[in-house]
Amino acid sequence: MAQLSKRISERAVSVWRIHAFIRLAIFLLGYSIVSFFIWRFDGPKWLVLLLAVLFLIDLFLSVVLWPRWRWQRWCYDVREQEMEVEYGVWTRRRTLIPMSRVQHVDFRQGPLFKKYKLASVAIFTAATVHEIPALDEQEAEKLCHVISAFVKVDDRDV
Amino acid sequence: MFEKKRLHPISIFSYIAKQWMDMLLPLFMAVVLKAREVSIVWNIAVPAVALFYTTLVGFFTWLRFTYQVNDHELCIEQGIFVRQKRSIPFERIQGVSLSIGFFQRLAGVVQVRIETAGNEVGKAEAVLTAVTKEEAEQIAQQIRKAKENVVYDRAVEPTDHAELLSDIVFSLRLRDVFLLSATSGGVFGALAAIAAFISQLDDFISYDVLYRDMQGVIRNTLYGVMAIFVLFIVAYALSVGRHLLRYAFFTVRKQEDMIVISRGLLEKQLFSVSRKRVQGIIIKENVIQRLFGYVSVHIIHAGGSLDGGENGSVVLCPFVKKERAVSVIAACFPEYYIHCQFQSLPQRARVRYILRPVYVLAIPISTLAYFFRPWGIGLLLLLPIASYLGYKSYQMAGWAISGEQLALRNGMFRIETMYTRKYRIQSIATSATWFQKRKRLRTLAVAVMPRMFFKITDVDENEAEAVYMWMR
Repeated sequence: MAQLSKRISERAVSVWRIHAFIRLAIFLLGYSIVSFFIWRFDGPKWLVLLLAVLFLIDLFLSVVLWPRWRWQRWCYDVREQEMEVEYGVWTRRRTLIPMSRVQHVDFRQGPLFKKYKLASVAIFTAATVHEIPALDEQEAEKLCHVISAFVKVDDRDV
Repeated sequence: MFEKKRLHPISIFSYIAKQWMDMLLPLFMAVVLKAREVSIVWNIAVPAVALFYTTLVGFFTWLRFTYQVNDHELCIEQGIFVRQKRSIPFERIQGVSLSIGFFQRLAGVVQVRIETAGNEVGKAEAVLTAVTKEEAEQIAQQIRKAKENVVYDRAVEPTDHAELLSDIVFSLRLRDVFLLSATSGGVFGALAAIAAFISQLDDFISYDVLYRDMQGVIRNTLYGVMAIFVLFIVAYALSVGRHLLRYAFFTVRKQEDMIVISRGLLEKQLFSVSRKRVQGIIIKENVIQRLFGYVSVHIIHAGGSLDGGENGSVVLCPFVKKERAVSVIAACFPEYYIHCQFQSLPQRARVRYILRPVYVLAIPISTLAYFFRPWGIGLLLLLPIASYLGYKSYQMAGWAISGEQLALRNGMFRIETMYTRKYRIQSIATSATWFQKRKRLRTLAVAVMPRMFFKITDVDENEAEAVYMWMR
C-alpha cells in the first residue's frame, strides 16, 4: 500500500517533548518520595539506583527519541469516499474510515496547543473515535469543514 | 398528556429489591464472615440499618423520578441528590421492550425499556420500572406517531403468541433447554458457586470435627463418589432451572421489518428488533456443543442489548443445530450468506499461535510450580495443552469475503464467527508489530459497534491489504 500523503505539524515534536517533561517532573517527585523513604527506613539501596536508572532511560526515550519517531510515522489522508490514518512506532496501524460512517468531527485545542498554534481533530463514528493529533490550527479547522462536507447521510445505517 | 408523571408505586418495592440484590453479598460477608460469635449489635443492627436505608432510598428514588411525554421527546428527571434531566428525542429511540417481572405482575403493570444507539458518550437509555399497560401503549403510540419506522410490537400481553403461529421462524424445544444447560458450561459455574458457598459456611460447621467423624465413612469410596454425584446433580438442577427460567418458550417471529423474540418462564420478556438495526450476526460454538454440531446465534444490534446479555448482542437462537441455524438466519436475514469456506492463516503464523499461550502462561505457571513443589511440577503439563489449544485456534481462525459481506472467525474454547455487511462496518484497521512485519503478517480489526471489535491476528500481509482495500 502506498504511503499516505499528508503529515502532521512538526511543531508537534516540541509540544510532545514539553508534555513528556511535565510528566517526568511529576514522576521525579514520586521517585524522590519513594527514594527518601527507602533511604530513611533502611530499605535496599539498590532499589534507589534502579529507580534512577529507569528514570534516565524514560527521560532519554520520551524526550529525545519518541516524539520525533512518533511524528515521523504519523500520516493521514482524507478523500471524498473515505479517510485513512497511519501511525505507530512499535505497532504500525493503518485505519480506514468510510466517510458515510462519520458521525461528527471535533476540533480540540488545549492551552499548550493553543500557544503553539496547534489543534487536534477527532473523528467519531458510531463505534470508534480516531484522533489526528497536533495539526496546524488553520489546517485542523479546514480539515473539520472538509470532512463534514464529505459526510453524506447514508440512510441504510445508524 | 404533557404533565410530569410518576411511576406506579410498586416500583418502590422493585427498587428496594434491586438494592437488596446489590447489597446481599457484601452484607452476607459482613454479617456471616466477619462475626465469629453471634452478637446482637452486629447481626441484627447491620441488616436493620441496611433495610431502613434501602427502603428510604427506594422511596425517594420513586418520589424523585418523573417522566413526561412530549410531542417529540421523552423527558426523564431523576436522582435523589444530584438531579439528572434527560431528554430523549423519539427519532433517536432504537427500540422499546416490555417486560413483566415479579413486582410488575403483582401490580398488573409493565416495565418499559427504551434503547437508543449506543454511540454517544453518556448513552441515553431509560427504564420506566412500572407503568400501566395503557400508559405503555400510549407512550409507544406517541413514539410511533413521531417516527414512522418505530421499533415496537403491539403485543403488550406477552402470553398470547399463539395467534401468530405462522410467523414463527424458530422455537426452542423443552428438550433443547436441557441440552443447552448440559452443554453450556453452566453446570461448572453452578458447581463453583456451590463450592464457594460451602467454603463460606466454614464458620458454622467445624470441618475438623466433621472430618474426624466422617473419616471412616469417607474411607469408603462409594460414599465419597456418591457425595460428588449428589453435588453434581444439584449443580445440574440449578443450571437447568436457570436456563429454563431464561429460555423457556423461546420463540422468534418475523414480522415484516421486525424480528420479535419472546421468552421466559416467570418473567416473560419480549424484544422487538428492527432488521435495519442489525449490524451483524455472530455464531458461537463452544467445545462441547461443537462435538454435537450445535451452535448459538446472536445478532449485533445497534440499539444495544435489549435482553441484558453481553454488550450489544441479542440472542436469536440459544441452542440450535448448525444446519438449522443457517436456515433460520436465511429466513430472518436473507442478505447474509452463511458458509464455512474460510481463508485460513498462512503456515508461518502457526508457530506464533502455538507459542503465544506458552509465553503468556510460562511465568505464572513456573512460579506456581516452584512454590508447590514437588506436585506443582505437574502444572507444567498445562503448557503443552495450552500450546495445543493455540494450534487449534490457529486452525480455526480465518476470514472470508463474499460480495458485500465480510466474515471473520476465531476463538480458542469458544469459536466465534462474525458476519457483517460492508456498509455496517464503521472502520477497518490493519496493524503490525515489529515481529509481525518481519514475518509479513498483519492483524486485521473491524469495528461494527461501540466496544465491539473483531480481530484476527497474523493474517497474511497481502490478504490483509486485500480486505482493507475491499473496504474502499
